[in-house]
Amino acid sequence: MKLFSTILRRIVHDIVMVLAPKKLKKLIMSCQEVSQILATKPELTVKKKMFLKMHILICECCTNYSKELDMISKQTKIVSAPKLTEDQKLQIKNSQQELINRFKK
Amino acid sequence: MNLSSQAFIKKLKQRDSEALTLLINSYHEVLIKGALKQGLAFDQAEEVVGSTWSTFFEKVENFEGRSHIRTYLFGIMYNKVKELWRSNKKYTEDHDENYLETLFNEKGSFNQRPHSPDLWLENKEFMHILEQEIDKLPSNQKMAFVLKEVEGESTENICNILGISSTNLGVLIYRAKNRLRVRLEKRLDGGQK
Repeated sequence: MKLFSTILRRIVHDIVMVLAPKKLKKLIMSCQEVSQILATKPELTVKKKMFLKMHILICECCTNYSKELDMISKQTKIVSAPKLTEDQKLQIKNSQQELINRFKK
Repeated sequence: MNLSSQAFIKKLKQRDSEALTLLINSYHEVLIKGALKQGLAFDQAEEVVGSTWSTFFEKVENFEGRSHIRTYLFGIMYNKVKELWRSNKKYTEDHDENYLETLFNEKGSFNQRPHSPDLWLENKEFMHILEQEIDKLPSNQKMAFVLKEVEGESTENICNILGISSTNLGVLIYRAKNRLRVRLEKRLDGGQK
């Protein structure tokens, strides 16, 4: 069933991207344009948001691209979270006081 | 007390003890964590932040409060981080952007279909590989990416901190994310087509 829907989606995508009138193709955007929007998340008009959703609906590539970026964002937050030991937390507290003493008149 | 008020800035310039204590207590740990998120070791982060405070207090006389004091402090800190990277000859600038040109064909379609990342999390090495690849990003891309995705800073703040335009920021973020996803696909998906 999944394979069938994947194939159907590709067919719809290729039909739209090849046969749609120029104006419609411009509104639906190319995968390259969609990738820039998905990566940089600019403010979009309601119309642009609608066509972006439409593109992603028919485009397996952009769906996967979006999932990859979401995964990278979520996991980056986890992997980059600083893990301070108790000693390091104490060191920070002590250095705070040293700095205060150093810079006050 | 409002840390961005003119009254507070005036007290800082006078090295008022209460103002100093409030400022340092408010931002010292946050600055260290910010430096750690850029991939610095703890002792490097401490050194960079110590140097940040020194520079801040050298320049505080000229600080007019046009930007928030937090933005000013973080701007100094991130410049110190970049200086450290340059002196360690780490994170060479990205001169090879050709890989971006090969992602799409002349019609703007993907040359290589992105994979679903569902299997990435099942790979035990995923987080380690992600950490390595973030670490390999060119310095400007890495800094912009971490500020946006990890710190959740606004575009305006990041542009002020890094001294770049919003267009430049968009380019850096786009390049960083594509570089990461291409590298992760290569290392995690192997020969999957």
